[in-house]
This record gives sequence, C-alpha cells and structure tokens, in this order.
Amino acid sequence: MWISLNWIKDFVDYQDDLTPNELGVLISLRVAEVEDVKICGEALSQVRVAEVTKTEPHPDADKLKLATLFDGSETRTIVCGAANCRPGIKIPFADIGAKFNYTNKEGKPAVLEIKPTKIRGVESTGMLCSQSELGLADSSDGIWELPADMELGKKLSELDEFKSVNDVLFEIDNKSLTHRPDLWGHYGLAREFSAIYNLPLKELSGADLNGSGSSEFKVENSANTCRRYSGLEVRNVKVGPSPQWMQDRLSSVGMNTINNLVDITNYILLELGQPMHAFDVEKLGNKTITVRSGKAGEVFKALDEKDYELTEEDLVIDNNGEAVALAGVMGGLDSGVSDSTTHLFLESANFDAATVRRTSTRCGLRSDSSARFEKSLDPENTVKAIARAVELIKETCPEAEIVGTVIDSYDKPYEKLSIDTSIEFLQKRLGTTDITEEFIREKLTSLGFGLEGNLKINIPSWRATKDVSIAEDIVEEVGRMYGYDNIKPYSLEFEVAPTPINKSRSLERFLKNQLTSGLGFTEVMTYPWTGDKQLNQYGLSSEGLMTLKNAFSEECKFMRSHAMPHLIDAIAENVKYFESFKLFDFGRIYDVTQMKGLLPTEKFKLTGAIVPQFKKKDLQTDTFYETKSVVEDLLSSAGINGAQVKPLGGDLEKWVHPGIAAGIYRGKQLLAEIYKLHPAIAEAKGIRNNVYLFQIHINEIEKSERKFKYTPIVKFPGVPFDITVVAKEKELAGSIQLIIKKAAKKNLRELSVFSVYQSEEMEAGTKSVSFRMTFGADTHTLKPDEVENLQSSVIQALDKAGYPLK
Amino acid sequence: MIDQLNQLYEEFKEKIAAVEDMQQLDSLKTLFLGKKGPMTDILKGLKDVAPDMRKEVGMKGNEIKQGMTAAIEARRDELKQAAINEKISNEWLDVTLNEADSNVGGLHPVSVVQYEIEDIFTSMGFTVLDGPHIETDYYNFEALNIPADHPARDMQDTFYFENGAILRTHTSAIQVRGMEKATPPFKVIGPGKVFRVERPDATHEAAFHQLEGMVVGEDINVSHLINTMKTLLSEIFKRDVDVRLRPGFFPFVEPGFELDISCQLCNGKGCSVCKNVGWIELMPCGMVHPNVLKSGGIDPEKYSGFAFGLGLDRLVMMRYKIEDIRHLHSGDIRFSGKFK
Ligand SMILES: [Zn+2]
Repeated sequence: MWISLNWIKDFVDYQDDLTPNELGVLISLRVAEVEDVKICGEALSQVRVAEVTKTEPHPDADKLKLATLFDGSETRTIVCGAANCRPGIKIPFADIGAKFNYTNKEGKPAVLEIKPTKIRGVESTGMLCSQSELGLADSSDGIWELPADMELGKKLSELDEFKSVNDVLFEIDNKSLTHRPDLWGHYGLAREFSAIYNLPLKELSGADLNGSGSSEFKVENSANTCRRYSGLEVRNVKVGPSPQWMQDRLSSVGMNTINNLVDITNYILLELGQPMHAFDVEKLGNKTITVRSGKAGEVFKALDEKDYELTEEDLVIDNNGEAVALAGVMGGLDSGVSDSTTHLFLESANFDAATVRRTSTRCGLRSDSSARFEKSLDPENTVKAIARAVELIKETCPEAEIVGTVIDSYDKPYEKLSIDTSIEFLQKRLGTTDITEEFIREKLTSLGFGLEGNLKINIPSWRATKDVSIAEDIVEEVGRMYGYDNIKPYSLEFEVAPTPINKSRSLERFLKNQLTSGLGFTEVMTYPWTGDKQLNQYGLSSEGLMTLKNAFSEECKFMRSHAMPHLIDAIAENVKYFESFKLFDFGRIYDVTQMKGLLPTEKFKLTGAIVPQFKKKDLQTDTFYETKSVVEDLLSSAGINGAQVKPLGGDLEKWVHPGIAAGIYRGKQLLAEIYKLHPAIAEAKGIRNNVYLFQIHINEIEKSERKFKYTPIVKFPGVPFDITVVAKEKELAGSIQLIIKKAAKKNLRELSVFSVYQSEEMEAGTKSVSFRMTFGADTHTLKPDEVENLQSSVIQALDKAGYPLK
Repeated sequence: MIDQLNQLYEEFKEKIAAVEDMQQLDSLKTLFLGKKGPMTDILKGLKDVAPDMRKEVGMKGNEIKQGMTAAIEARRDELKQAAINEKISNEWLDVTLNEADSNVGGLHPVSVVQYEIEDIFTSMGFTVLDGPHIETDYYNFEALNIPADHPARDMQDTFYFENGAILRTHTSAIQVRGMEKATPPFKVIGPGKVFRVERPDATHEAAFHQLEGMVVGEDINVSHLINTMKTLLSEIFKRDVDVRLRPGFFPFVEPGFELDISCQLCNGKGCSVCKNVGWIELMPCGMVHPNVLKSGGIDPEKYSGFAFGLGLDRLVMMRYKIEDIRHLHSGDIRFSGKFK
C-alpha cells in the first residue's frame, strides 16, 4: 500500500525533520515495514520558469533549433530539438549545474546533470525539459508548455500549482498491517506520526448530515455478521471528473480515477480505511435495503461483469429481493454509479471480517474493500466516512442535497475493552526501566488509549476490534514507540538442566558423518512427494497415499511411501555426469498403513548406492560386497550387533534384483537391505552401470537394542584351522558358517570364507566352500587335545548337516 | 714398532680413500681393526716391547686405532649422506597431478549449515526437537493463535490434504508439541523442512528449511531476546553482528518483531545488497503469545518466553552464494559435496 506524506500532513504538522529515506526507516522501526520510498517532484526544485523569445534554425542540423531564452534576469541561447519549441511559450528551464533523477527513454532510472556542451558546433548552456524528464508523466511529446501566467525565474517547486507534486511516497508492506485495521488509511498513519512526534492530530472534517425532508430509505439488518449499517440518500449529484487535486492524489498512490463519485468513495477508503459503496437510487427496485445471508444457488452479477454463485455463508445486500452487493467484497453490476446517475444511496457499513474473508477467498474476489473488512474495521467509522463523503461531494457537486439524515442500524455496538496492567509489567516485559512512566503515559495517550489509575487502559474503538486485547499488546505499543532498537541487550540468567541429547538426531548425524567423511558418499536431498508417473514406473500404487488437494503439479500430488525411487531417479541424473559415484539420502517416508488420527507415521529411511564405472559383461559383484560391508560397518558402529545377513525375503519391490538381494535381520526384524538395481528399471532409466543400492530402516535401528561391545585383546595365541566342504550350488555360505559357530561355540575367534570353487570334476550342481577359522581361549593356550576336539566337533556337525568334507 | 704402526696407518689411509660403499667400509674395518687384524696383532705384541718404550708405543697404537675408527665413522656418515642425496635427486613427483580419486564425500550444504547452527545452540543449552512434516491444522495454526479465517493464514500458502491434514508451513508447528512435553525453564530448537504452495523457480521453493527456537522461563523479556539473538548470530556469522528489532506481525508472538542484522557486506555502511540502509532483514521473532503458551500447557501468568524462526536455505544461499534454490533438492551430486 502506498502512503502519501502530503496526505498525512493534512492531519499533522510534520515539519520534514528527516530526509525521506530516514523517515522511511523511522516508520519501519516504529510502525510498519516500509518497503520503498519514492520522492516525487524532486526535479521541480532544479528547474525555473523561462520564456522562449526567439528561435532560429541550427546552422548545421535540420531538426535542431537555436532558442533564445529569458528567465526574468538573463538571456541565453540553447540548442533544442523539440518540435513545439517556439517564441512566446513558457517552459521549465534547467540551468548549468542542475542535477536530478529521471526516467530515461528506456524507462530506467538515470541521473541528468546539466553541463555546458556544444551540439553540432553550437554552444548550449542549459536544457528545456519535458514532463517525462521531470518525472511528471510516463511519456511526453515535446517540451512542457507552462501556463502563460507563471512568474519568470521562479523554481517550479515554489509555485502553488506544483505543491501537490512535491511529495514523498512510502510503500508499506501489507503483511505488516495484518493486525492493524486502523492503518489501512492515511488518517491512522497520521495518528502514528502524531504519537512519534508529539504533534496534535487534527479531526477528520465532515459535512453536517442533516438535510431537508425525510428519506424513505429503510435498512433491515438482521444478520449477525453485520455489526453496523449506515446509509444516506443524496440527491442532485452530477457525475463528472474529479477535481485535479483529488485525481493527483489518487493516482499518486496508485488508485485509478473513474469519476467524481467513485473517486470519492475510493478517497475515503484510502483516507479513513472505511470502504463505501454508492447505489444509484434510480436503479434500485424500492427503498428498502436488507442485509441478509446468501441463498444456496443464488447468482450474483458483480461489477466485474461475472456471475458468482452464492452460499448461505455469504452476506449480501438485498434490494427488492435481489442481491445488489456482495457485502464488503463487491457491488452489483446493475445498481452502481454510471454517467447518468443523479440520485445516490451511500452505504458505509461494518461487516464481519471472517465472513468477508471467506466469501472473497471462495469467489477469488480480493478487492480493496475486502482487504480492509477482513482486518476487522472500527465500527465507529461508518458515519464519519459518510460525513466526509458528503463534504467532498459538495465540493464537486455544489447542488447536491442530503435527503433526511443518516439511517444508522447499529444495534450491535462493539464491546468496550479495557486492560488492567501496570507500568512495572510493561517495563519488566520489555526488560528495561529506562522507559519512564511519563513516556508510557504520553505515548499511549497520543495513540488514543484512555488511561485510568495505575494502570487501567481503555482501548480506542479503532484498536479494539481484534488488535489490542491483552497487556502484551500494550507492551508492543510502548516498545515500538520507545524503539526496540533502543533497548539494551541483557543476557539470560536462568539455568537449565543439562541438555538431553536427541538420540535419533544424533544417530542421523553419526551415520551421515560416517558415510561422508569415512566412506566417500555424497549426501543428496530429494522431495518428499511423488506422482502417478513415478509411481507407475516403479510399480507402486497411489492407493491410500496422503493426497494433496492443492498440489501445483501432478508430480507432487502424493506423499511418498517409499524413498528408493527418488534415489534411483537421482542416480539416473548423476550418471550423465559421473562415471562412478556413491550417494545417499536421509529422508522420510509417510506410512499410511499406520495412521495416528489424520497423520501417517513418518519413518526415516537412509537410502544409498554405490555406482561403479560401467563395465560390459561384468557383474561387479565385488561392489555388492563393498556395499554390504558399508552397511554392516554402519550398523555395527551404530551399536547393532548380532544381526544376520540373509537373502531378502517377502515380496520384492519392482526395483530389486531378485537374485542379488540381501536383508540384514535381527530375528525377524529387517534392519537394512542391500541389493542390485533391477535390470528392467535400470534399462528404463537409461542406467548402464551395475548399481548396488542399500536402505537402512532407521526406526528399526532405533527400536533395536544398541550396545557398544568391547572385545578384549587376546592374550593367548590362536590355532588356525582350514576346512573345505561340498555344498549345493545355491546353498549360502552364511548358513554353513552358522553350523560352524554353533559347533565351536566360544572357542571360535575368527571365521571367514576364503574360497568358493566350482569345477567340472565335481558333481554337477555342487560347489566347494573353504573356511578359515581360528580357535582360541581367553584363559590359556589351547592344548593339542582341545584343538582336536574342536576340529572334530566342527567336522561332525558339518557332516551331519549334509556338508561332507571335500 | 712405531714405524710399523705408521706404515699401517698410511696403508689404511690409502685404502679408506678408495672405499665406495658400506660393504667395502665394513670389510676395511674388519681388515684393520678386526680381532684377527694387524692392529690387534701389533697391540698384542706390546708386551714384548722394551718397558721404557711400551708407554710410547702403546699411546701411538691407541692414537692410530682411534684415528682409524674416527675415519671409518666419518666415511660412514659421508656414504650415508651420499646415499640419501642420491635418493632425493632420484625421487621426484609431479605433485600437481591427481592420480587417485578422493574418497571424501560431502554433506548436503543444508546439513552443513544446520548442524553447525545446531551445535551453537546445543552449546548454549538448547535441546533439539523434531516434529512431523504432515501436521494437523491445530499444531500448525490453531494452537499458534491463528484461528480459521484469520487473515494471517494468507501469509502462508498451505498445502492441504484430502483428509484435512496439512503440510507444516513453518517449524513453529514444533513449538506446541515441544511445550506439551517440557517443563519451564527450557530452551529448544526445531530445525526441519517446511512447505508452501509455491511453484519452484530460482528464488522460490515449495520445500525449504527453517529452524525454530524457543526459550521459556520466568521473567523472560525483550532485552533477553535481543541479547540471545545477537550472541547467536555473531556465532553463526563468525563475527560480531549487530541486531535491530522492528515491529512485525506474527499471530503467535506478542509483541512480534522483524529482526534485521547489520549488513555483512558493508558492515552497516550501506551498499547495493542492503539497499543502502546498512541492515538486512533476517528473521521474524517475538515474545511468545500467552495463548500459545496456554496451548502448550504453560501458565502465561507465571512464565514468559521468546521464539524465533531462522530460514536455513537463506543462510545457505548467503554463505555459499548459491544462485538457484532449486539446486537444494535436485539430487545432483555436482552440487552437494562441495561445501565445507
Ligand atoms: Zn550493505
């Protein structure tokens, strides 16, 4: 919203103590955020009135002229290219040394500085300016011809005609006014000025509202959502253009000018923040205005020439059974002011904020009016607005007559609020006693608060609707007026108990650090959502997923229930740029199979991959084992012990290679998975590399008992023992190892597979597997007979399980 | 006998000059000074020397023996040095080449910054909290003093689910869940992803990161807030930072503030980044609204507190001068792993 300093000066005698930019900062610090400061008419102080006394053709250029000027005291010659430059006209003249900001022909801000120059060999000592060069118009044709009665030699900024052009405009961030209905008009901001500078605030003027005769208008207001409805009938108006000063002011703050009557309602909207509407009485069916709820299915034809279907939640202004306005949002197409209007009914009402907001949101109709009503306006303003409107109408239509007087339906007055607090509380909450009682009383009084005793604060109507209701709100008033920037910092003194560590976050960080600094993985982040396209590619269904009502794209419609597809998609992108890499994502999935009320269970998944360099016809199984040992190392360093690797069970997802897929289990609990990317998905994604993926189910790890085990350094030497057995081709070395472990019990120190071998000499479908183990005891060196016993129990156990020695 | 000794010494000097490696030096040592060498023989014969000469010959013999030992050790050092010099001159590497891949990966820049900030907070006694991405209207709005139909809901374009749940629009949603479990006094932070309906472009994202902070205790006031923010931000920016509060409206705080920091580029003197005002708007904060304390089960008559929200992506982009916010969720490892 743009605010004009001149407009504010209508109500306070602010003396330009600060530069415009300084003032902008002060408003930001004390009231609301100023996003931009525009200085208007700055150039006018740099140009003077002069008269062209003679023109001659330029000796060397057809399109240029030599103009002789007289500025009241001196005569000089300048070169000018404007077609309208001719003897007898008065023009704005920029002398040598004049300097001002202007908008150049490309529409960009630039600085114009006048220096003596030679144009095509002729000395030129100054410049004749156009309106656009002076920042008064977006474009202009030729130099500006000033009225003939202007005094020569005067600076334009000193002339009454241009007083209104000299202005400073502040663009205030609307968001910072969300809680301040009173600041949606200049008068409210003027009150802030008066409080900051201790200046008196002038009353808003208005006409006497007692007219002749009596009005036949009746207002029936039974709606709970209309606190007050004030109206006035005015006759003998004449539609025409607004006075220039009003047009200038409206356009300076970005409001379009339409005609005198519409402009006046807009002017009051910008001045007092009170929206108004003018009905053309001739177009109304009768003289009864009813404020009522909408009817389901009712259609309203709005000013914007569109039809809106209403609901019972809407509030409408009804005349003769027809909705003639959508209360607080927009007027109707057929009942508003037109060029032929002579007879008005002015509406100035106070509608319920939430109702206006719901209607304007639902219809997609955000108007200057609805933006104000939804902030909960001051109901005391309705009649003031009408008085001010009549005053302005009389200025533009002196014959206008009030019929009767204001019709005011105000049977639901606002609740008068007061707050009991104390100077001490205000000082305590702000953390300083530097703010004196005198200061507090003075500022609150200037802002319109009524003070009683020590300290009851009566809230003025313009702050009482929503904004100020508790003592903390008064803390804000005092704090901002004092300036938060003037409050000295003070350190916290309370002690808190030692901070408990957030265990799941520290696990997350631990795993991420291991992966990045120890194991060479790079972290990526992926989006938490998915769409039909991705789900289809990965053989997943959208059924039951958390579904967004207002997704901006089909691809972010659902919340993901799997994390791996996102990682695979990231791999597909990265293979374009890297031959080999390792990456991971620590993210969430949204499990809809375990709903807690409306919310799914959010689970953490660590997904990762090792992508080795592409090799033809090579499975790169060593990368599988590398990936597996990465996961095993992560788990054991996170305190997970006694987990077992088994082929991944259950129904495998579409992206899992069924032959190369392991699960790390503790009992039946699946902690992690390691597998090769399914060739079909790899193909579809354009990935040639053998990709080995892993996924760690973080929540399962957190549930698991985590112990950090220390194995004492052995004191007594161990005895190695190698053994080779015959097994079926697809038997797992891991199952055979379990048998050895059981047989050797606690005397087994180490066990590993050192060779897996198949040859033609062996029975078809079999393989030989060689294990190396070390036996030992913690208490002594094993004696030969102990070693023999161990060896034979291992051999017997294997044989019994169907793994004969080779 | 003395002549014999002198002759032997001359012979030794000749031979040691010709020695070229350790092996020759060792044989030379054995040859002259070994148990079966001439020196041993000569000194064994000392008992046969006339007693008046014995002392002189003995001294001479020792002198020569010491001379030989010293010469051998000196030569040994020379040979060692020569061998090292030779190694140095032969061993040379083009150190500018990169023959091996680095095995160092990297954290995502948001993680780098988030963890750094978490560490600063935890060192100041803050506890790290977490909350769900998918939230109820209650925790994201109602409990934060933003009832339905409040215009403040416009500040945040919210993703709604068909079942009425929403994607949290701010980490403030973590506040009330945190308060429900905590007893004052406490200091907590809640970092995490938040979501707004925004079609992604270079400066807008639908998913981004915030860090919420909250301190609740007896008599917490505005000057505490200013001081805490100044200390924290100086730690975060690793230099002394000035902070300035302005009025700002956020329904969950009262009073509410916009916090500006002194421009880090021009130190507050004014530059194009800070639009010549010397300050940059950084974060919203304020004194926790009594209604919010009540939502969290805390008595506002007894306790007060302050809260703040830091945009992590903004800090990341400021620190690393990242030109496009969409890189953050791109999954592109060319982007991650470059930030330390
Ligand atoms: Zn700067």
